[in-house]
Amino acid sequence: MGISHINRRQAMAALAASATFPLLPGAAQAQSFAGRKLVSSGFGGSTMDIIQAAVFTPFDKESGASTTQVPMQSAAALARMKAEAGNPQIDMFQFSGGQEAFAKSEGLSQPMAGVSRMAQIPAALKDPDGHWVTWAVIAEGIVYNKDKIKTPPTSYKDFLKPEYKGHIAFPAITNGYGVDFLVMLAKAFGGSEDNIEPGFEAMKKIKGETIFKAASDLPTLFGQGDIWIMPYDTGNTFKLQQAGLPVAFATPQEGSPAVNITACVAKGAKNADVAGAAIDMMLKPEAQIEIARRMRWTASNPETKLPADLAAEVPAVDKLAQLDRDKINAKRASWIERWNREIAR
Amino acid sequence: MARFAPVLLFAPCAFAYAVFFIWPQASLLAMSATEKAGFTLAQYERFFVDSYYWEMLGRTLWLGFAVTAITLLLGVPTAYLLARSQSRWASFLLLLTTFPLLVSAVVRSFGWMVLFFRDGLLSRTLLALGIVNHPVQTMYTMTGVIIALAQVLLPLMILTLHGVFKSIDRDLEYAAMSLGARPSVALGLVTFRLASGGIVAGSLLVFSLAISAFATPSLVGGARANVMATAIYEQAVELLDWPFAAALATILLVVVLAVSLAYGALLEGRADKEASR
Amino acid sequence: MTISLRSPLGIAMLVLTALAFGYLLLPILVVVAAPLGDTGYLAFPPQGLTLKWYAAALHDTRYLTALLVSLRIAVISAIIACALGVSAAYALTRFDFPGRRLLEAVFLSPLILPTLVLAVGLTLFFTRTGLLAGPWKLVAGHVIVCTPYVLRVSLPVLRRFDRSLEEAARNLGASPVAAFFLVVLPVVRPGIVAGTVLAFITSFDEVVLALFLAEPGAPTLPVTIYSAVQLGFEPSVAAVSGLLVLATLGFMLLYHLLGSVGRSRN
Repeated sequence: MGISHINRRQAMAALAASATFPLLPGAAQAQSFAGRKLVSSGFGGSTMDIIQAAVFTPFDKESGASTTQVPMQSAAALARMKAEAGNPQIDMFQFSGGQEAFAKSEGLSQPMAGVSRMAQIPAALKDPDGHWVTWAVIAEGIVYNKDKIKTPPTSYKDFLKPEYKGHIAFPAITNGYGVDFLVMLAKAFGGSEDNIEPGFEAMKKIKGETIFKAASDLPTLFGQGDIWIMPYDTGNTFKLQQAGLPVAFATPQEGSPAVNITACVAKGAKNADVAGAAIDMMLKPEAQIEIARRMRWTASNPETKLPADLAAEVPAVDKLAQLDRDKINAKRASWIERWNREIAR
Repeated sequence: MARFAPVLLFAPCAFAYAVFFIWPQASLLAMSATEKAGFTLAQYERFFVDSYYWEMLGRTLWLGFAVTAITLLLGVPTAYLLARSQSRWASFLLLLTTFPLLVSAVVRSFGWMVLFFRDGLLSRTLLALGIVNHPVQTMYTMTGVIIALAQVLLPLMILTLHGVFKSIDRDLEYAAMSLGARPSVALGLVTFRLASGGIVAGSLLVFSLAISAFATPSLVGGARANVMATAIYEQAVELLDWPFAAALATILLVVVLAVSLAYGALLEGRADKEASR
Repeated sequence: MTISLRSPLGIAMLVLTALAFGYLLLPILVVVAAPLGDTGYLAFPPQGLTLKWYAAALHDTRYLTALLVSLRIAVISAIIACALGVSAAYALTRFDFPGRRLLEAVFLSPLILPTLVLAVGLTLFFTRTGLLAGPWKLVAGHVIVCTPYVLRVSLPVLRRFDRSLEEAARNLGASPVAAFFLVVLPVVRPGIVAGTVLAFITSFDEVVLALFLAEPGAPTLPVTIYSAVQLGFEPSVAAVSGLLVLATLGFMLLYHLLGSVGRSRN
């Protein structure tokens, strides 16, 4: 029943957006949530502050709600979501590692209501049943030290180049980027999400290199650890550049996998309606431009028109490769088991 | 009245434990042995038939023993000197030892990272001293985890032992010496023997915390220092496989209880023998 | 000093103690000094000199708010843990009753379970039962984690306590409660204080339980720091820890100097 409701809403919003009433999506949000308190999970640190300033502060001003972000790492946030199933203390969740698909399959999320901009988002960036939506995208690729590596790397195959030996780092498989690196190595050597074997074969050849777990290690790896090349993303490249490190981002020929920054609403959330309206704000072009400007995250809404200077630095969403997340999630546990035994041992 | 005194004294603690520890944990640990069809030992079988997990259990115990040994070696003299010192700075120094605990585990691991990398301070010092002849990387190794974990658990050892040394009457040491014992003998025979309860307590405290620590093995050890606690985190948080995580936790609990009871019984047995002599 | 510091044993102990202090404090020095560097990443010795990371940490009200939350939780948890732990430890050492050893093992077992297991179990429990609200969920979790520290440290001290002193006081007419406070407590106090300090610091530094049980609007300091680095590291995070170390050091020095001024006046 909830689903048909959403579909009708989506259909109406799509109709409105495409044809007669271009103003309607914004105007529909003019409802008041005065006095309501929305609780969302957040990514912590400056990322959380920027999201607060770009999304929640304008949202609170417009709707009268007051929104708090709880700093939580994505994986821990999902575990808390599961442990609080039935009586959630946190209304909406932001994920960066594909946790939204688990949340849906475990029955922890619910279809979102009141997200009128949902219709503007391409199908690949949202759940068909309206459980989650991608509101920003980070492009993965190769981060390298441009003082040490003069010709930019062009392929994931470059990680096997002998001249980089001893200066390579890559994330552990429990880090979302680690799984994607495995998949992209497989693709570079003729495999795919269904045929991961070439990925493991290639990774075995560099298993003696530095393996790290968290993005927080990046500045030290480049600054003190004598690392020249690693698979990571545009957002962190930007952070490292701001920190004064001589790094650059290269888009590999196999494609830049997209990391989806998603939002979803906890099943039984007391403020599901407020959360829906807040998520709608995340999809608003103005908010997405601000996020792109301050963090170099790619906008998920095709309606968002970045200024030319920014557009040059942020890869467009249609240029990114969407990995088959359902297949990856289904196989992740067995890959982790194998990785622990064959790569990290 | 006196008969109920012990009950009254431990009742509040027992009540709090029953509600907030035993009940929640028992229902969680029960997950490890149940499935839709009822009772199962499949989760435990998964552990015991796999040499990977045995290796991990061994690595976890090794971590516990190594950390305990380091903290004892450094903790006993430090606690003793601080307890016996007449200086008014002794209490200041005692509190200073707790500083590692003030620094968040994440930040502490950055401190180690800076020291442990190939061109970090540790590697450079070892090179300069001629102990090694090429740069060594301690970051993301078990050695690094042991060093980092012993540092943060050393204050616990010192505080535990300090309390015990303080409570030992110094006159006993003087008495032993006045009976002709050399100071070192008096110290060994009297003080350390009397403090053995504290040494056991401190060792068990450090051992238990070392093998259940998650943050330091994960942050300093990286992907290659897989211990029980990081595996439990991986199963519970990354894979949401709570039954298997609960099984791992139960195995850890049983192993450590066995080690502690054996260690405690060993020392307590000896103390009883001495008391009856 | 009972042992002459010039004896071989004394020298060995001094050397080991010096090593222990170096070992304990060197990484702290790194954490305090590294954010002074001009680089956007941590380096030691720091390169360049700037106070901008420390200023950023001070200006970020989030950390101060979180610090106050952490202090409140840690003080309440430590007091409760101290009361529960000391009374239980006293019962366990003074009376012999069936199941004493087992009870002691149970009381100490939260030390062994990884806090993550405790956290998941407690979160499920609170969600199902609806018990407790606000900060009390986290306090309950921290009391369970902290009480074993009080027990661990005060048990050996209480065991060592010479019971004849207490009996003498009782023979002179003191009630059991009076005997405890007048005779037992002064002797075992260092152990109890040590245990309570440990309980306080443990709660103050605890991150996993706090991730799961803290009030959504009031994360503790370790949670704030832990989550701040998920998507990348900022030196201001290290500066927060650096500030905490410096502030504690400052308070300790002040307390100590004021204390000695007071003493010298007497």
